Amino acid sequence: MSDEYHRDVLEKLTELVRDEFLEGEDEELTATTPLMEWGILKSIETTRLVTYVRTEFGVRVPPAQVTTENFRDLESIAGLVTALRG
Amino acid sequence: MQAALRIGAIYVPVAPANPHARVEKIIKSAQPKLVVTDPHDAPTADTAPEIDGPEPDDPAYVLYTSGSTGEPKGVCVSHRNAEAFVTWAAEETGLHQGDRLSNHAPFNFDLSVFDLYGAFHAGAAVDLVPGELAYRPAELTEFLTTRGITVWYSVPSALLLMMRQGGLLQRDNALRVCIFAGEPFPSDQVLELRKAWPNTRLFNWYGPTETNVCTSHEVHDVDPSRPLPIGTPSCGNEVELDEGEIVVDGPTVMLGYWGEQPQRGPYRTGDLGKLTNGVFEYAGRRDAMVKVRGHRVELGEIETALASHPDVGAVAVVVTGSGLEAKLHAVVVPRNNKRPGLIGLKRHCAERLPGYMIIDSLAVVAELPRTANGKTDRTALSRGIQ
Repeated sequence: MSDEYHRDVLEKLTELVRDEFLEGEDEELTATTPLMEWGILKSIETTRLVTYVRTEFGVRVPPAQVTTENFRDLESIAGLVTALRG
Repeated sequence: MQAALRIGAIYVPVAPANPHARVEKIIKSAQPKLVVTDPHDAPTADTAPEIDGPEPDDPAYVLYTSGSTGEPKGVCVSHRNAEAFVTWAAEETGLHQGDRLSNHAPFNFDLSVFDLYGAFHAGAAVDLVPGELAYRPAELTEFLTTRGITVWYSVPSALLLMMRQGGLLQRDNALRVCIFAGEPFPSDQVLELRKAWPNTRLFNWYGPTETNVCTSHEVHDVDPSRPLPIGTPSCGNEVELDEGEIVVDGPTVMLGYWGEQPQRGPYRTGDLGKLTNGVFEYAGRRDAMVKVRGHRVELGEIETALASHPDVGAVAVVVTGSGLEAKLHAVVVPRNNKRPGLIGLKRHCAERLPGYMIIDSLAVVAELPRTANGKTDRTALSRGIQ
């Protein structure tokens, strides 16, 4: 159940990052592409992603959880969202 | 042009490729007494020119360059200025009677000063490149190789075009000296040239029209991870950095702008430089220093980083939007047939630059827009994106 939710979150987040932040390019985008390190998530994109998580999944990410560790890649963000769903 | 110099007249070369409005502005500013043009639209003249022996500090010619305000500015170069440059350049490159120079740059671009007066100075030949060939890689390569050119001088864009699309490096040639100036030459591509032509002397020259060539670097070894140096002061000039800006004083600094107060003292180039062990590197335009989300960003530095990517042939980075919406947009011409991707280029930036200098978006194009002088047309690029 949680696995399925995690997969769904990961898929939707991948779509968001590909379509909104990478101009639709997904050739090299994987669940472990380092988003912050490679500048795919800068501050504006991170804010947009947090807003998206709230509206799409109803999950509020507390500011203290917006860390380079939690937002390292799509896998870790999906993990955070799954965990925060409670 | 020779005749004008000999009778102490001043000439103002104007490229027919210029937009009509620009030519009008130049005519309004320069107030020419005489117009020399192609036979089909030649005006009729009934007055003989005044003949007046020129003094060394009389103006020899006026070259109009683009001012940052968009108004063309007429750079007045004296006989003394031109002679200081030509004498130095002929000696530096060892010009002699057996040489055959080409002239790729239009006459209104100061690269042509070396081609023409260098050749006259040394008693060498100069072969004018027909204007319509200037950016046709196959024909240009044919010209360079079959005319027996021994000394070539052009912007890097023209050489890169011949290297990438004209098969230049696969052809035999008679080149003894190859000089480039006018814009940065990506160092990994210079390395390719260096390896292909081990016996040709390569020079990277630097200087705005206002100072002519004020630094020179002879290329021996190339470090592809560093920008190609612009070298050490030339023509007897003194070159210094003032808060990072390249400042030039000496015999090739112009008299001043036509219709304005004479230039007094050192000329501030508006270019940024770095000095390592007495050798200068060009670090971009001062006014290309932009603020992106609060950070000072030098676009040239991002371009240098991107140019070292194996799939990038040519690149220009511009800023789109402002304030929080400001984005770094890269316009890239692929090197081979492989299309570079945004993620790959972001990663490439991330490995070389601070995070705020990583590009946000990418356009892959067949070629970059060029100005009439053959440099990358940044204004057109920004206009195309906004």
